Amino acid sequence: MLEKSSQKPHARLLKLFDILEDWLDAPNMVAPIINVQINTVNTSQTNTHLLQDFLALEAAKAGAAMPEILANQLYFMAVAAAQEKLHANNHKSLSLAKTAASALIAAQTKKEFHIKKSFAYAIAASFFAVIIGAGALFMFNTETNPKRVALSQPVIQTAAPMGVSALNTSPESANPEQTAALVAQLELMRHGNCQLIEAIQLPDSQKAIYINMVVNGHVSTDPHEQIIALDLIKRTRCNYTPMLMANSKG
Amino acid sequence: MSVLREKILTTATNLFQTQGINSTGVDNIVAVAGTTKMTLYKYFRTKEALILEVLQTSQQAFENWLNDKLNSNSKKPADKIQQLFDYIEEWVNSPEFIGVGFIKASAEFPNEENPIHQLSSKQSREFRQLIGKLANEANIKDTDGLALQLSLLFEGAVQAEQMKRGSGAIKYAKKAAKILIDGAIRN
Repeated sequence: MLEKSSQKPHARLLKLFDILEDWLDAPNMVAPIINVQINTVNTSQTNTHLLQDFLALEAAKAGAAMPEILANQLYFMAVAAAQEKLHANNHKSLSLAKTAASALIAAQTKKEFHIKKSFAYAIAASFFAVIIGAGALFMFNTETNPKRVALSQPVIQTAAPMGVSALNTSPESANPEQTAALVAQLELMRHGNCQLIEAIQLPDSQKAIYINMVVNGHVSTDPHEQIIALDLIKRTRCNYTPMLMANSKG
Repeated sequence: MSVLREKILTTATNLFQTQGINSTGVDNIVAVAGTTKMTLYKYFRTKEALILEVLQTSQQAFENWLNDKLNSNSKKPADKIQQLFDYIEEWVNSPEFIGVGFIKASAEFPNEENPIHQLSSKQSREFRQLIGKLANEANIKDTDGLALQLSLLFEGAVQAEQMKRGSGAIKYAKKAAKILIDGAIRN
């Protein structure tokens, strides 16, 4: 029932409170039966573990920092609120608990990153150096070979990977080899004409990764996003034949 | 209070929290406390009486500690509720923390007719009332609602912490409490 309640894990976690509310409000539920069943929820190890495992899985899908702990807390809050409704006749207990649970899920799923001051200064300095370097290169290129830019217009213009995007920092850091492979692929693609026609049909989440990482060249540190990006690159068709040579063939 | 009585009480408190109330026998308590069953029953008529005393003493100690913190460090009424979870986090993370008696007791004694269950429910209600009082002082409209939410967060986090020491559950409960308190103050 919980599994099919919503498409989003966050909503599925909260649905537990609605289901308990509906169940306790059902007209054919007489008090002694509810008591027995609530006690069953409390004491049956198997049921408790099944429900907590499910909650932990959903919590992990929602991106919780500690899925099992969150599952345990949510389970406790739901049972305590249900008992409050039954024994203290508090009709608002489950909806109040749901709001508290929502705040708890938000607290656990909010991505946080703490960068040491010295590290932040280093990043800022590197970024500044890259900007200056890129500016100088651009000036040099346009002054010495202005036509080259116009001739190498790719179907997909992959921007230079400007280092690893700090905005996309995730608590789980990426594998350096994987990041390097991704950056190398993007660098290579800059020298060719690349296209992935199926991009229009990609799911929104993949489309965002495609535009951000493959097209714009902003490399995320999220390992899962990197895997998706590498897969999309594999599916992208690139032609590395120099434009002039390709034209002369015809 | 006699030294021996206090020793039995301290030993029982530690054993109940670390091994469970039902799993801790009187034999175990007297062995660890270095006394005899006869002495234990001289001070506490039954094991149930000992459990009730343990619950009352530990809850009183926690509430005294919390009230001291709130009254000495928070000048404005609105600050007290904001800082409540700071102190709770400090207490949970302290090496002396071994759990909350009434949370463990209510889980181990689910029968409503049981005096231990009744006392643990009373203590849970009293703790919620304390939060409600702080919410009222901070001019929050739905004091009962916020008190219930914060007590659920508190009890849920302590329950998780009792299962896995250093779980960090209280850190997220504190963040969630801040979201709820800020929302309640704005309304």
